[in-house]
Amino acid sequence: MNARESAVVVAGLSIGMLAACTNGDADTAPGPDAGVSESATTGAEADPEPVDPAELVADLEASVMADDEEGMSVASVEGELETVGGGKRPVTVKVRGIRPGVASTEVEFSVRSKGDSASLDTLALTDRAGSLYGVAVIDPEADERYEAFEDAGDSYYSTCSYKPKTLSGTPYYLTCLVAPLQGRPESVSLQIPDLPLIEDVPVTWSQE
Amino acid sequence: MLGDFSYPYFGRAEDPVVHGVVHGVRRVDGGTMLYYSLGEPTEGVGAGKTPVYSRDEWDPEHYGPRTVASVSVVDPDGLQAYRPFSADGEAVAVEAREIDAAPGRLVVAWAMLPEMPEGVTSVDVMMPRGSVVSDVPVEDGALEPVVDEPAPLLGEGWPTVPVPSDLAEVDPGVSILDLTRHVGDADGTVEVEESVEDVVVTLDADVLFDKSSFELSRSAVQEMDRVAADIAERGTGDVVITGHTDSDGSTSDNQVLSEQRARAVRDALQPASGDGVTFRVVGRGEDDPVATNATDEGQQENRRVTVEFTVEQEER
Repeated sequence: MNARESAVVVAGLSIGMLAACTNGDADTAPGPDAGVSESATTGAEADPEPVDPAELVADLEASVMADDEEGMSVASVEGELETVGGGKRPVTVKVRGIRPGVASTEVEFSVRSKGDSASLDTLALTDRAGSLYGVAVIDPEADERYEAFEDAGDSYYSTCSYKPKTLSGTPYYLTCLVAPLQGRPESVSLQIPDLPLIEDVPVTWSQE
Repeated sequence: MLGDFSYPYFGRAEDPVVHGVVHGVRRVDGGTMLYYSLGEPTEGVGAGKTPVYSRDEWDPEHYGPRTVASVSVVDPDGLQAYRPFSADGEAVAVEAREIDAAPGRLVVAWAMLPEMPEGVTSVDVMMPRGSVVSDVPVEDGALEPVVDEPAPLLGEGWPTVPVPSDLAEVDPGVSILDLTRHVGDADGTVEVEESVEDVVVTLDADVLFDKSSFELSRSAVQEMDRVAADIAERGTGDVVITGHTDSDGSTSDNQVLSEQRARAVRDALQPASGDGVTFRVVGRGEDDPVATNATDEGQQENRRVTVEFTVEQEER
């Protein structure tokens, strides 16, 4: 998930209201309030502030479409990635977050070419087709390493983003779901193939 | 928690970026509905605009070219992934030609996936190009109000859920993938690959043994304790221990060394592994390399001992 903080605040409210729309009358032709939940209506009764469904959708669309903000990274590294043909390209990686979930851990980072905005050739980043391969979260204190889930069969299905075909000066956002962290480490290391280990990356634990 | 996602539609940095929102993963008759929406801020999405689904994500064998099938739902706890149903070579999902929205607008899309076990209450959703929305709750019932549009604009209602008769020809086996979970120690000398049915622990022989020796080193003791505790906790049936070598030395010497090392690991594990399992020892010598023997790194990968055991199934 691209957890843009500003977007999530709006989207969290709006998505919840739209998704909770389970008790509408299916026989009723959709009007301007279609897609707004009973819970939203109930909420309006408790709250004198009226909710304009069209405005709600417009706010959600505006927040979701907003440009990603690279500035919220929690760690970064510079290195070189191999390109097809054996070349090397300098890149900057910014880690946007390592977020433990219910049964997995979400890793989000951006990669962009350093210095210029020229497109690059297909990056290695993996020695297998399709998805990123070899991304790992390492907890040095607990001596534990966590990697992505993969298909137990023959396919290349994994829980990492497809690798980028090209990079430019614009950040390219990538995610991986890795195995759930044991214990509650405050910081971990992130290993991305072909790049220096990124150490002391803070873990964003949800409030409980 | 539901959330948003984005991806450059064809995987190039210069491509228009498709943005979207996951609206729900809902249990319905015959399966699971995934509702999401897609849009693009400058061109919009659809024919003549930004495509939402690129050819390199096709799985033509099961999903054909017309449907938006590059979505899946992951149950990381149950180690399964659910892809859209496949019927007559097409995904039971929104068709790409039905997706159409002006710049900045979100259009609702959907896919029908197999039923998930009752105990699954939260999943991670993989959207096109592998973008992720994690910790999405699994809820009951279709979203309403329903409209006739297969892909309405957000706010106009929700698409119709396929009825069970539409799913008569589907093969859920095509759409359910068994996953493996990969963990290990920090420096990669112990790797654990876990599936629903079994666990395979791969131990770096250079950590367990001195060169050409079959006596366990002191540094191996801690790793043996960890593996034995795991077997005692959830192992059942046979525990198969297999020794492997690189190709240095004679084939017969390597065969003997692999058997001796496998027996040494068994002797270390057995006392602490409980009574619920039976050990079996195999030596494979240099016959099953996992990497090239032409490099030092490859040879090191090939010098290993694997411990494989079946795990007791948990009811969900």
